[in-house]
Amino acid sequence: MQKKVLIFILLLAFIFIFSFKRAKAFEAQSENFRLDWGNLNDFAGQKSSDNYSLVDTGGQIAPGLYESDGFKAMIGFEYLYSIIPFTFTISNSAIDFGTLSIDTPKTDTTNLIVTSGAAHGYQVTASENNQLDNLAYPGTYIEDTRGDNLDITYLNNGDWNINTTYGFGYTLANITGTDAEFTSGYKQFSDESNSEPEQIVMNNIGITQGSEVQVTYKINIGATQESGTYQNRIKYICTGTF
Amino acid sequence: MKRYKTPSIIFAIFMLTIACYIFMATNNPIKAEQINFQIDPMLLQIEIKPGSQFNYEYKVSGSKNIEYIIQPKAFIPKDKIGNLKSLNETPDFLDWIDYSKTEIYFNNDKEIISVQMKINVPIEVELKDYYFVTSVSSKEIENNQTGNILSGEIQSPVLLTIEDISKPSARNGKISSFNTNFFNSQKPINFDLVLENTGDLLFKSSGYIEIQNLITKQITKENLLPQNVLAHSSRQIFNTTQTDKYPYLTWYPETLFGIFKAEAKIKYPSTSTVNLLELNSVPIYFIYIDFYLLILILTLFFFLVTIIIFKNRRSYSPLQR
Repeated sequence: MQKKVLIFILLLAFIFIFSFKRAKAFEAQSENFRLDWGNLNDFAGQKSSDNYSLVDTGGQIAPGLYESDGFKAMIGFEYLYSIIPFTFTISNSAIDFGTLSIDTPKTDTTNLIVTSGAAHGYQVTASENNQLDNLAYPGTYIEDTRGDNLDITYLNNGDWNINTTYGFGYTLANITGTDAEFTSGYKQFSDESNSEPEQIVMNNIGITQGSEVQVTYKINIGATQESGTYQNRIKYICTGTF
Repeated sequence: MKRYKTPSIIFAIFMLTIACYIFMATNNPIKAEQINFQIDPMLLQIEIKPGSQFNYEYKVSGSKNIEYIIQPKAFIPKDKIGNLKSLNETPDFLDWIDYSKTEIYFNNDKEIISVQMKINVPIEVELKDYYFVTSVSSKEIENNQTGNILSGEIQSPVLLTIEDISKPSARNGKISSFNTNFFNSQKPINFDLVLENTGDLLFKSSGYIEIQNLITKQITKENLLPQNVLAHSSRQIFNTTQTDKYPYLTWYPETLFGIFKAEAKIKYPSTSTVNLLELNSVPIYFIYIDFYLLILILTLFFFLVTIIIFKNRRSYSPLQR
């Protein structure tokens, strides 16, 4: 009996050791993008100064590094040679919700796409100039939503499922990659007129090709909402790291 | 009469088709307008002496039918990982910067336009760093619909250091954080290294961490990425790039077990004989036991305890007594 128990414990220990998955950390450094400094003594004809013109008399002393009497210039990152361009695409220049009906939420979307060869990535921030404003009666707003639990702000995302919760907000979804700042619930856009700082909607701390995030805008009005055309401006800023 | 009706119907259909075509062509939904941005390079670092001029040619691309504006905007570092925040204020140094074009139109979507940036540094100027982005922003397309008018911007940082580059000034900084877990069983071992620039001029985190196995006395060096540590800011330092979501300063131990001492050593610039900044961290100590070795030790311990318990039970069993 004791032998059987011992064999059972041994078997358990064996299963424990070999079924235990080791936590893995990333070692995703790619040699395709890394380049050590060399001395190429070559030039590219883009840089010049009043003391000195690189095209005529100077040279590139290493990839991306140019030097003269008056200046030294480094293009890109000295420890990462990337041919990936820095691009940013906003899929549409306007959102048209059309005619709104009471207690009937409407949604529309924008896709943001970023390609970045910056060594430490990029970020996209978003902000609105003000809340959706009545064009005929400025100062009459469709307010930014507070959510079902009154917890939505420009900093906090929260639930917005009830059709009697009113206002305007947005949520994010990853289409390609995992660069969306959040993917559950809704948030308000930060309001420039209220001195709220622009908020990150998309970011990555590495090289990325074609990261895509979908922004879904949601709007819902109640019976007390003044009729009219409401509008605001939303700005997306894509910045590379230094 | 009937003979003349057919051509008039055909003419009416033709006119209706033309009208529909004109309506559709002129009434495209604005939503379809995609806004594209591209700028090259992504980063420009310039060290320049007072009274000098620097020219550089940006390559910019965008969407046709959209008007773009190119302008410099001052920025400040936003966090420890290289992100920035452009400022609404326009400090005086932005007057030194001119672009050959300030408004750009693209004839087609793939067109690349060259924009010359000229920086004229005055002779009388404070020797320090000036940071700005070259910003390319789209102008909003007006409409009168209920909804949002969208616009965008792409920003490429420019790090401008003004000093006598033949006699560069010493940099001021410190290692504000260098640590790791005291006990590690997972590879790689992650270190947290943060440099703080307390001066007016940027430096790079050129250097390494030196790790010594206190048992075998073997020393290994892990080179750091020479990241830009901007004036009056802190920067987390790594030795890898292009990770999924977060880069690390990591080290892979080659032994199964060890007691280690680690020190961070920064020397800027790394290649020059002139030493503008030298920083050495306080040594930190840590233990590494390989995960499988740890499990083996724990299992053996578990068996040992089990055997002892069984032996004890047997010796106290009523039958044996």
